Amino acid sequence: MRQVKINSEVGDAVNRARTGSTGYCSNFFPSPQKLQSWITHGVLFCDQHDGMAFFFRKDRDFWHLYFCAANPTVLQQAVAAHTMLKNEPVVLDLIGKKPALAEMTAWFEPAGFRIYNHLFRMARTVVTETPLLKTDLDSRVVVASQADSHSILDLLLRSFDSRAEQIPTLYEIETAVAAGQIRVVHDAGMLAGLLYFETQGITSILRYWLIVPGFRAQGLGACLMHRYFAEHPAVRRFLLWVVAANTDAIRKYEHYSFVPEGLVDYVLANDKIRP
Amino acid sequence: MNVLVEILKSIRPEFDFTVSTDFLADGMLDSFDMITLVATLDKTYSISIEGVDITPEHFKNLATIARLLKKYGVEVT
Amino acid sequence: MNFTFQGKRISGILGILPVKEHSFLEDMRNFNFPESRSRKLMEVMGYDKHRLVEPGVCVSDLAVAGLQYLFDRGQLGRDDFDALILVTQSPDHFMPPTSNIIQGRLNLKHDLLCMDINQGCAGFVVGLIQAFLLLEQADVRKVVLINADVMSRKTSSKDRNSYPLIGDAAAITVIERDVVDTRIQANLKMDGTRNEALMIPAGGFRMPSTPATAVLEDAGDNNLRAKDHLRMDGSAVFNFVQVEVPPLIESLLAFSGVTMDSVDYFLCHQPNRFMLQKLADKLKVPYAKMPMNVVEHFGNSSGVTIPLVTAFNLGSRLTQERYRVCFAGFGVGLTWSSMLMPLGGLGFCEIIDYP
Repeated sequence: MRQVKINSEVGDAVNRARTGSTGYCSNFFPSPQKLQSWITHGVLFCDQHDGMAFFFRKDRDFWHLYFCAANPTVLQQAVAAHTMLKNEPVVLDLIGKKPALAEMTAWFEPAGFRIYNHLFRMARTVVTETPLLKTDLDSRVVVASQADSHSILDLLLRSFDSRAEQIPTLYEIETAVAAGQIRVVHDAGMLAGLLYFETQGITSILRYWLIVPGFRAQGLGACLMHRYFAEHPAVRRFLLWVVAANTDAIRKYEHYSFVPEGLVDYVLANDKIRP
Repeated sequence: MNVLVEILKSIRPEFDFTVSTDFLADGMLDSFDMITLVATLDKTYSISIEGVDITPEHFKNLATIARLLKKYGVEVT
Repeated sequence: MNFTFQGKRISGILGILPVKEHSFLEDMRNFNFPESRSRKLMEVMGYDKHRLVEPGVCVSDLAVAGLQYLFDRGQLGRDDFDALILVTQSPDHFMPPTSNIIQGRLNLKHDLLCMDINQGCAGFVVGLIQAFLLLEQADVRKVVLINADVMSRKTSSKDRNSYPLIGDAAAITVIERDVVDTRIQANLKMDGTRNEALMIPAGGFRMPSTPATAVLEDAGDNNLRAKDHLRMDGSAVFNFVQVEVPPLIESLLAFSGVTMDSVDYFLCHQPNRFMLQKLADKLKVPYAKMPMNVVEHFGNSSGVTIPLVTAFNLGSRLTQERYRVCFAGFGVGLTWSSMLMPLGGLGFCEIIDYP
């Protein structure tokens, strides 16, 4: 296994797995920005042989696994043979519709992978533009500054499961802050809540929305959400991923007209990952 | 008609639209103004004037605009 | 006319945008245009910013930069493709074809069919049709389609009807055979009797460029334009789109046996937001399915706007997900064309800046 040092290594490995294949399968679709960030920070590794490329991304105390395989047979053989999948804590995400995912999950079971968690995607489609009503927005919601970055990271680590919910690193948070992608509310100088998003064209992905337990039931969550919608009048579709078992969150999202869209994320983990 | 005149004046405040029978020929509205006018009429009257109706002859003067609006169920007096 | 193709797919889209951004409001101030009127136009038409090349930058510069980016990242092998189609109306020279210039600058193989197509607003769909036709040949494994224009260099900076909305850009689309027997359907119409609606009168052989053709003339409404410059009959083009495009798309869907509701996205040429809203209203397509935000961010870059609207709005989602999309291009010629196809599982779908 070698550390990926330049982008072209990724492209070459993917192309080699893909060229001439009749059943290409992959879960590796990083945005160019994410890919570059992983390479720059030395967290991406590649293991490649005929018809097959594995990518491992180091995340805190475990690995994310990505694969690009010429066909499912090649993938299953490679999964069975790879020692890292037996010896290291590894998770992988399989995203798609449920019937297809059931088949893909079976490819990893012989290597000791099980469904660790699952999330589904919800969407809120906007039919007409909503004008930004500045007078209706709560002034306590502000754009996060770099001074908030560490608190944001602490809050995310305390509130979410890094294995299932892809918690960003500090440098990713700092990049998001610099890009104006995080809104926060403070109370007595402390971070009381946040909303973190990524917008591309007519689509915006709500990555995290939470209020610190001691500051709930004060309408701060609603303030953040209203600000988010009001600041994106041109967005036609808001998307988010939610853990399927988190019925409380799902109810809150439904209140804001989010509905499930049919796309599911199965997070598989090997037995080195403990709940 | 007063409402129409007000809308037109909001787009081109420097002109008196009650004295012209051909806004485009008289240089009071250009093609961009016509589109701004349509967008304003759509919003004011909650209608959606079809693209095929956005032609100079429908926006020649107050009477032609009123006739167009009538097609969309809007009576301007 | 109708086209049916099978077993072909788009495997990657890259947009290349000049990094320099100009503001619509600032441009309009240069025309002594009242700010209140500018702001109304901005709101209705969706004008805000546009990207323009620096003086001297040509289409081959944008194309070469984009291809090199893909080569450097291993996303396209320099010997992997067998045809290079360049759709442009602002070539580097009359002769040789700019596609050959790109081939030469990148030292690409000799067994490469290089072809320039003189098309504009409908140029992406026309280019795709040509690419699919070429892929019927066994020796053509992969086609690179480049749409590129630097039309700002042919637009009078004193023509407020055109200059503030023009954009320069390029897009590279990689097309290849699909192992799945996907069906792609398209239709196309052309009407040369209305060719003068979008025109650059001088510079070709009918009216060669001379000092006289470079003289700015009053085009009405305080606009100044030379015969060497782009001339657009806005009303005629608007009317043409509203009359011709809805039946074209409806006919495509009928011919394909597909309902309007089952199309996930309508990815149309981007002249301005108002025109697209009226088109969406006529087709009864929700605005969520017809993105119309390219002009406000980048300007109208002719044949590049369809790949740009695709990459800008769907971006990395297209690497993982699949959609049924309808492309529709309409404009210079006059030409109008639409295509229904599955789109997704792309190897790349992004936009980069030049330089």
